[in-house]
Amino acid sequence: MSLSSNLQEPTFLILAALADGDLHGYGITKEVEELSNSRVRLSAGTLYGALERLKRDGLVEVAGEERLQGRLRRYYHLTDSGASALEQETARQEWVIEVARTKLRARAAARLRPVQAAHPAQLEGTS
Amino acid sequence: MSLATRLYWVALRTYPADFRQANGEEIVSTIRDCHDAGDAHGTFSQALSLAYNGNRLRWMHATGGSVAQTFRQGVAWGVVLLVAWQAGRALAGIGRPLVHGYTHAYPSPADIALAAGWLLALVLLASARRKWGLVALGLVLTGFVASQVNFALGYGGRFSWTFTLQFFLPVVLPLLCAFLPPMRPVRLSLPVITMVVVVAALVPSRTLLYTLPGLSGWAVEAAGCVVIGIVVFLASLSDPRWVVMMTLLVFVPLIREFIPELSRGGGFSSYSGVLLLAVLVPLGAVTLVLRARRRVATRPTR
Repeated sequence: MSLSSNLQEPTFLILAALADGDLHGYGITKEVEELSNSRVRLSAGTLYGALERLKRDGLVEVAGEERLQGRLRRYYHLTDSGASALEQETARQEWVIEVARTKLRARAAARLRPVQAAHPAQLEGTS
Repeated sequence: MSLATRLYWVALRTYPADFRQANGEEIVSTIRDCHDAGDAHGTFSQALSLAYNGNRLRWMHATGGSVAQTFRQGVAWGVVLLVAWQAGRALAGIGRPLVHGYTHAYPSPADIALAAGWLLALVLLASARRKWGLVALGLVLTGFVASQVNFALGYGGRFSWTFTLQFFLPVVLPLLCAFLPPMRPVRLSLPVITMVVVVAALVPSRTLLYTLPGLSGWAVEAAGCVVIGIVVFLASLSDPRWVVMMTLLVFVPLIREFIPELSRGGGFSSYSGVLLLAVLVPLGAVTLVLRARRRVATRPTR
């Protein structure tokens, strides 16, 4: 699925929230908040904008609806395409994280290395 | 219905009607669930988010593509509208001696050629013959600038660039947007064609109305403004391209007002106004276009 390269964080988190079961709008909001350690708090406008795009791209579908205390709740389901897009994005993020880790390790190693190629003038100044 | 719920429904008016009917109730229910659970978002924050996302969705729905695509189509419509306005003005100019009993100067061959040029550009652009329309527009713009400079030189007294720019820059600057390549072929819908005809007829009708006895000038001007205002308001509710189109039209009098203010040595506000209108707005448009083109270029084929 080519869409994975365009997944923004809220969209990625919504897909991740739906990965282990169907959820309604409020359920998705709470799950996203938990997954992001309270860093991402979706407003209704952002949530339903993202859900609309995901539905249009076939990554999410409506699994059913119910009415509780006069409030309409629709349950959203992650489709196979959605699961595939989530897997691709997860793999991409893992790769980015691995690259970043490798670079950080190299940086730390370079800092620990003793100063070998200092300029002779600098060495004279310190003596 | 509580005040907060009413506010959400008002904000939901920004969404396309079909989306609002399908999802409005569910969205409001979700917000109420969030509030009951002590959600961090306040009522106004939720309503603002709805208004922002509703407008975004409306812009995307208008062309079935991106916000940039809708913007560029609006610009293309606005260009046709501006050309219609100019064609109407040119026609009114050469027809004025007929209406006012030849108390005005006779039109020169250049005036007649310019009016014909504007009409030709209008017909070509409105009938989606973009390539030839742009050629005609380029020629007529060159002729228009030349005639304005020539008029200023022959007017007597000292030649003033500010005075001259005031006449041709407000017309030329927005019309340069015509040369931005659209992402899709631009077709005019029936309401846009109606609008183009109305705009083209406005100046000639005003000229004609002034000749009627007992009709004061301000009444004609006010009636014209009210008609345009109502049409724009109604149109902007249905399709955001209308808003872009009308913004382009409003551009003309705004620049015309800013240039004399600049020449009077106005303070920072005048310069910033000119900067905003003459530089930042076109720059913003070009940036949007380039971004949209890059997105199209990088999008893989399915």
